[in-house]
Amino acid sequence: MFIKEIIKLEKTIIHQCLFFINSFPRFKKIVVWVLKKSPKVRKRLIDKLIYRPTESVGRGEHTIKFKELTVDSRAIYLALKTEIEQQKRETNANSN
Amino acid sequence: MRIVIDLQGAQTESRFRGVGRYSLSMAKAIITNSKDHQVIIVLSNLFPDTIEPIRAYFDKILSQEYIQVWYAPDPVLEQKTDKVSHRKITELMREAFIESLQPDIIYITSLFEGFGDAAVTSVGLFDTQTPVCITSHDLIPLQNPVLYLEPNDAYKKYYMEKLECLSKASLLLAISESSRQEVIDHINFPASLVINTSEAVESHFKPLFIADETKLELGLKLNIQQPFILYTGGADERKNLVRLIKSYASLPTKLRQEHQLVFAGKIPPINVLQLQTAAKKAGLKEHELRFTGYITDEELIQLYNLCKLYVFPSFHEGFGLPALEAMACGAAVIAANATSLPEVVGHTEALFDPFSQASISDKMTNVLTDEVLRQTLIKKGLKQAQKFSWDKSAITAIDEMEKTYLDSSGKPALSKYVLTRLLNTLLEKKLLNNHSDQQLYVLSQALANNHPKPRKKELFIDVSELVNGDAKTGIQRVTRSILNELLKNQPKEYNIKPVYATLTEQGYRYTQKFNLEASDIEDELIQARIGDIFIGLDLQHHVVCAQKNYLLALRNRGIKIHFVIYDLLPILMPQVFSVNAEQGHKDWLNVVTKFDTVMCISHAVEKELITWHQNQNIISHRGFQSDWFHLGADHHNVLPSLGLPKNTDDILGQLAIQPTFLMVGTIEPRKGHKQVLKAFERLWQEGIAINLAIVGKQGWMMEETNKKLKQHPELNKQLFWFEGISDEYLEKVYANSLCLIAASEGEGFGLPLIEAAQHNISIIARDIPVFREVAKSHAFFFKETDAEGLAKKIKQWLMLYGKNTHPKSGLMPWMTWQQSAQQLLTSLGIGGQIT
Repeated sequence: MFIKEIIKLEKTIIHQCLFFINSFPRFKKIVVWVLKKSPKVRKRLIDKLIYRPTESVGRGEHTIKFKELTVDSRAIYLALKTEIEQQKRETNANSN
Repeated sequence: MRIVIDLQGAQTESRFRGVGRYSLSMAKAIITNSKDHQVIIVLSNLFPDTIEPIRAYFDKILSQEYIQVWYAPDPVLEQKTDKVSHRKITELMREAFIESLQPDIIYITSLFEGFGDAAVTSVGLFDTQTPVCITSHDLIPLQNPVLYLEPNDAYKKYYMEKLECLSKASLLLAISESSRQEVIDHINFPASLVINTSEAVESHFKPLFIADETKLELGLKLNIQQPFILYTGGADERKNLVRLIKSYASLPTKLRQEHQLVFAGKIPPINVLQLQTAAKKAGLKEHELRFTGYITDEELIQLYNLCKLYVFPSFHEGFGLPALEAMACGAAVIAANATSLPEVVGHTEALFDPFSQASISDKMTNVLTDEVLRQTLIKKGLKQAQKFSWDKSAITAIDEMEKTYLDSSGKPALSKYVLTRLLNTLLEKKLLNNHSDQQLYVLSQALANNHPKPRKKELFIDVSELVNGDAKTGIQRVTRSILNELLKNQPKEYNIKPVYATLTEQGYRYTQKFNLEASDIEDELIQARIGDIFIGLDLQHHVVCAQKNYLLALRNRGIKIHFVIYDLLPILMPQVFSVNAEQGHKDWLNVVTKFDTVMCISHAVEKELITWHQNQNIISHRGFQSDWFHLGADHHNVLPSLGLPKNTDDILGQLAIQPTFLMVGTIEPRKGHKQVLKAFERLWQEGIAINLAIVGKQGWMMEETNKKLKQHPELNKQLFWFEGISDEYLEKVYANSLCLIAASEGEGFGLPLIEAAQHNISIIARDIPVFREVAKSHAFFFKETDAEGLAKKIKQWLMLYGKNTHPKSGLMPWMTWQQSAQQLLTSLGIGGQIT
């Protein structure tokens, strides 16, 4: 189980790194150059990224963040939130 | 008339009982007898595992777009909210969703769902206008309160609320005359609005010839060693199973020794324990009773066909479907002389007093010892079963629904602004005041799914690799080319949306990367809705595997999901890939073949996939669907890379001096470079003046060949190696070559063959199915796997060339990327010519 977790984590880290590198053209050029020059490194990277088993990402274990909502969901959330707060303010005002 | 059927009765635990079977069969019969009426099935997302099997059940008779899923927050995630609020919110959400479908009548196949699970049913809480029709299966708890209601206050409260809902219905369907009378007598419902539509059995419940081998297999699996008396059905007290066991125990010893008593189907463990204890008390030995546990429909039908006697001792039934199923399969059936069972069984000699052990035991003895009586029961049972049909039930139900609809059609429709009305209702009733942000997120998400904004359908094209890193392999070239075509020429009914996912975050996002106008907008999560389509065009094994659950959820919602498969090489030729490649590819195929269609890039790959799939145990409820399309090859659409080295003219001059054979592709073990090089060494030794030009980067597992190439005595004389050259230079190399050698042992397509044809140079290709498919008669094929054999073939080709009788590639057909994209869409049934 522990090894499985490590493998999963390793792949995630490499993937995040690539995502980061991809956002910066200069970094990207260097990395592409290295990979071109070394087929072994390229192959090892592909193996790690593509062929290691991956577990499905679930939502059950973690809480949802605002940015994980779709545009439509966010609009509904904001409408509800505003109204609920308004209601609460009115209730407080009335009780005072 | 639009009939919306709430089919939660086929989703909850009821799906393992008669109610589930009834719900599916009745809905199916309504659809097939609906004529001009429109039927929409509504399912709850809170039973995700049941959605795909139900979609599959209706697949051939109802378009998937008419199976709609409504969303509600999962009660497990809602622990902080009190249960009453949660249920109220969910009831309102359900009614609002159904109202948004603009039904003329709502039909609930089973109202009494949701005690102890996440189902919700209600009438008139939000939608007060649309008439509701409900099937009333029975009122057993109301008639037996001491047994069912008194011991459990919560259940009593729940049950009474449901009765109130029942009384608000516009039309009730009863499943037998007996149950109809119960409704009229006990809840004071107008008799004219309670209609007996009865139940029936599906046509596959019939007498079968069962081979000895099958009998043996079934017996071994279910541990049945001798002729048997069968019971199948529920196990609650009214089913009278303890008395059945006692009656069996009091059979004459010889009869008991000759017959086992088999309880078929899923029975809760606590009830099994109870029954085993009763059997022990009655002096029965362990092998005399058998509990099969869950069995398939096929096994159930076999058991009905094989049993010596079927006993149904229940003293209260709404209908008693298992008895009818058994009769339809040609079983001798005896049943209790109580409630609906006399109607179902239809003849008195098959009935016994369920409250008398002696009566049950005597009837069992009579049938087991009197073959004439047994045969009479079988004959009468088969005849009786024919009186019941789902078509009859459905036609009666539809007729009554029509009347109800016509009676109610003067009422105003309220289906506009459903979401706004729902939000206002939730706020007015102050049901959300104690909700945390997290709970509001979940609720908002469900509401957005239930009430999507009107928009054109979207065709999601997965370009994850292009966005996340771009490995720049041939696959990304394909992805880019097809995406370009689709973006340039959008199909009429769809908006093309390139999307991507990552390993760490659940869900796919729209990408702005391919927007023609520059944009700073952050990539948003896709808001998929029924009718949208997802095509997994790019290849990112790990991301697809990571998003499996998300994709399954999309499919549940009614989004069609297709994947493109480029090859099966890591599985078919594991020796030329790394250790993990084979398993990784298998894992990925296991995921993608679960969805709607897999599109292969050639017919040859499709055949390989079908062969592979046949040997796997992949559960796919709607069956495995595959097809193929060909890739495009008009590279003038893709911007070529430029650049020529200083010695270009010298090298090209050398290529032009004598016939040049060209190989294009990365140097990998499967590409056949080793064999070709050895063949050319032989030809050079024989003094044949020809060149070998290899265009391709160093790949993996070929260190020895790479070294040999670099140190070869013929290098830059008759052997040329172009590593990582520009498209501009490649064009010139093609122009100076005579023939392409495609020696690869395995490919998904065969693009170099088409490139050769475009340059009008000849082709010598290995005889593999995909090259035959692409080149047809326009190439010279070889099967030889050794250098000597290949050398002979090359000489043979040179002779043909000398006589000008060699196969010419110039007329080889090939497609543009626009045609390729069109073929992909057409094969997937995505309507509308791309414009």
